[in-house]
Amino acid sequence: MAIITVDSLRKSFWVNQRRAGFAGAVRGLVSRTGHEVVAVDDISFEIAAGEMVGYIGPNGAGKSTTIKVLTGILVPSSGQVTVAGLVPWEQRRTLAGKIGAVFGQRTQLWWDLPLIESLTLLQHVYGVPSDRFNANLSYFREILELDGFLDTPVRQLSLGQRMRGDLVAALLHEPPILYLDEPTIGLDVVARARMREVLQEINRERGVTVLLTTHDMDDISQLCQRMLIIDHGKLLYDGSVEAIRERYGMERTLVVDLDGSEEIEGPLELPGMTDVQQDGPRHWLRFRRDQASAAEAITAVTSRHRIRDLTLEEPDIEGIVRRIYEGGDRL
Amino acid sequence: MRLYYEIARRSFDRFLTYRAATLAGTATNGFFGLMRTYLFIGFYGSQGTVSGWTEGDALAFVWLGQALLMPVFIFGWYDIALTIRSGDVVSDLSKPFDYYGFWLARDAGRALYHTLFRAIPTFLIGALLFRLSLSSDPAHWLGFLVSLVLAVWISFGLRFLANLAAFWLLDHRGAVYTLLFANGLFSGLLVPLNYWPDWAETVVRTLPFAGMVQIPVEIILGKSTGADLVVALLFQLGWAVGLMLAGRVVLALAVRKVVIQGG
Amino acid sequence: MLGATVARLLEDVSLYRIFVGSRLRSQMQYRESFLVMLVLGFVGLTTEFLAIILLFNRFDTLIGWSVGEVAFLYGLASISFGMAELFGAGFDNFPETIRRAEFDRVLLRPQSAFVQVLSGDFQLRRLGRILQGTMALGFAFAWTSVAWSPQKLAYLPVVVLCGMVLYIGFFVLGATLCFWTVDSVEVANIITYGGTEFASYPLPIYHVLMQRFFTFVVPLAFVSYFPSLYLLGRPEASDWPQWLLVASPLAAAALFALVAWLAWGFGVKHYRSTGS
Ligand SMILES: Nc1ncnc2c1ncn2[C@@H]1O[C@H](COP(=O)(O)OP(=O)(O)OP(=O)(O)O)[C@@H](O)[C@H]1O
Ligand SMILES: [Mg+2]
Repeated sequence: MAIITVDSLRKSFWVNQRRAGFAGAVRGLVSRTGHEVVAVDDISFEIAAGEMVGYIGPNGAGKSTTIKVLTGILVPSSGQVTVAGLVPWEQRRTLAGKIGAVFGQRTQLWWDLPLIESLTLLQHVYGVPSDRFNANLSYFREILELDGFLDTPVRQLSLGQRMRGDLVAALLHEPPILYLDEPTIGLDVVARARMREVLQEINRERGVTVLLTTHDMDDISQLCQRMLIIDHGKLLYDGSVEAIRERYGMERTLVVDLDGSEEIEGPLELPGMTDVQQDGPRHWLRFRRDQASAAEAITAVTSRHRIRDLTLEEPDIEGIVRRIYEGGDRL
Repeated sequence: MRLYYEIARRSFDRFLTYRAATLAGTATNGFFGLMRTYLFIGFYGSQGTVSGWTEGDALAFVWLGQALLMPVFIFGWYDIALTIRSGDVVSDLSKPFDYYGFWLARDAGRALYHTLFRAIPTFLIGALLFRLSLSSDPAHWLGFLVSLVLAVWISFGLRFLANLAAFWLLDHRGAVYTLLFANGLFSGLLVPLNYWPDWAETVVRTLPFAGMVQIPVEIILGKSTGADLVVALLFQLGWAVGLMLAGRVVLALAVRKVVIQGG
Repeated sequence: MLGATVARLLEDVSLYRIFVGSRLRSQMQYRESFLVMLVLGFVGLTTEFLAIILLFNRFDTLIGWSVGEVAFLYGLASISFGMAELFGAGFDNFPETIRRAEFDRVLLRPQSAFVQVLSGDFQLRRLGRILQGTMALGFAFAWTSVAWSPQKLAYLPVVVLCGMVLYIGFFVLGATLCFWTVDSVEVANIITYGGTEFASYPLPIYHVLMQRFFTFVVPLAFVSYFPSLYLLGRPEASDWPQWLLVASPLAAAALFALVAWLAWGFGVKHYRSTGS
């Protein structure tokens, strides 16, 4: 059963252009020019209840815009959307009680109030009965370890604490749907891992449907079975995380700088590796994780060549998107 | 000198980007000018001269006042106070330029912008719609220009001091806010000083505020001529320099406070 | 249907109180600063009133209106505007809300966006203007010889409330403009701040186009000049039906509130958030 359906969604913005310099400012007083930015371009997908879906793409791809349409913040230029059977921008108030949202870049809490007071305010805003509120609060206090900073004004919280506060704020009214727009941005490794565990638990224990954007491939591979890839507003991929991992995530790149004493023209010939790019003494060697460990790959290189320096590159989202384009493959 | 010229130019350029605000601001000044114009027309009725001014003088005052509002007056200018609060002031103070000169140059750039793009358009609205009695003597116009420059300098001196108060006061807005209202009342902007009761006028005319609106306006109306004009300009110059000296003394005290207490 | 509407209204009112309460609590953290700003605001605004008194020192009347009568107009406008500022300032401050994309958060919540914005920037220090207007009204009572019948005394707060509704309506319309452009909001200030100044003096002093504008387009005269004619017993109104003067503030406020409400609903649909 699809709880979110998106059909031919399109959202464009008109952006005014400012002219530079003095003459520009004077001319700008009289006339304005601008252009249209298509943030989301004819996107369709469905998400079933209880799914946890990763939504990825490079900067400016249109992820946040999509989420804002799904919450009812933005009215789309065209297309149909239903969330929990409602049209977000028409039935915003009803829908708001059924969704929770965390925007990692911007807090939803009251800046100058202590966290606990923001939460009790939200209790009134969402009309959560006291017993449910208390039960939920004590649940999250435990799993998110809120106790140390419940009484601190939000503006004094660290980023990780604030993000946890935002997550509680988004879940206190027990929404069946949760949108997370970069919930791990700026968090350190430990906080990131903790956040993932909590999200997993919420999805598993409470059956919450989660749509998650991130720039961290690890978030996706640890949390989601399915992912959507978007770039320039267009949906490039909708399918299992596994397939992408198979295809691209397995591929790591060893960047080596050869010692200058060795004169080599053209690509290096090495077993199990392809030399995909050269720049002077620097070579980019691609190999598959399932065929060789990093140590084996390094040994393979060093046994044949003298090298001065090396780095290992893991695939990132930008890289994957680039490769999808390069390969011309629409999956 | 070159450095301060560049600072002033940057500041001028920065204001160029606020074009919509400029347009809207001019419209606001124009609208308030209209309302005050009709207020004085209503007050004058069929009376010829009141307190030495005719209706035409009063209307000229209204539009000059609206025009001078931005170059000389400028509401809620907290620029220095904000750097004090954020602590950026420390790095500004340690830069190799004269701190007072740095801010004065910035303010000069701003004032030039506001004169060209706010004051002149605003004044033109009034001049096109109403008969304003301005002096036709070029010497008075020249005197007005000098007086305008001095008015900006006085205004800057006052704002500089009020902003420095943020070194001592908890709330950085209080002093600037107080200054704002003193400006409005004592400069003659709200009610020209010649309409005030004689004793009050005598007192207020000795304050620096008089040099911000009342004196320049009287010069271009042709109300102060010959020796009076020179005295008026000297009065302005005296206050401008006096405030500058006061500003430098207070700044020195503030710097000492920062050095001793670490802000 | 009616029951549901009333229930929703009550919910809105209680939400408004909850929001305002929380704003107040956070402001009380900085009590000194609050008091200083309140006093300064009051003193500062007093210069406006002082200006009127100074002018009447040199001019005896303003087209037949005495200083007490003008003080009445001024006080009425100040109190109405001050109350609008106090209760509806979230709309006055709306450009910032839009620039920082805080309206996103408003739309995420299952409550009326209107009520949330209305209560978003409650600041008790804005009491200054109301105090100042009350003081002016006090002088007006002392300086005029109006016979204040019980009807008139009961009617005065009605006029003030209608004025408040009208001013909040301006704020809402100005805020609505922000959905398209945040740069031009200063134009909206012409209507609010300019309108208050306009309403502080008798209507006929102004150019006829301005009179019409503030009567028929922005019906400010209906909450200041016309009811004041009745309240002060001015001769200008002697051949007009009294019920018309008395009813006009209510009609104007209701109509304008409706227009502002519809415009707001239309504007919200055009909200575009920000790109980051
Ligand atoms: N309110 C707006 N006004 C104008 N342009 C906008 C607005 N919101 C988004 N855009 C543009 O739409 C495009 C998509 O933006 P969006 O914020 O959806 O990207 P994103 O995928 O979330 O990127 P990021 O990873 O950087 O957060 C960008 O080109 C952006 O500049
Ligand atoms: Mg984004």
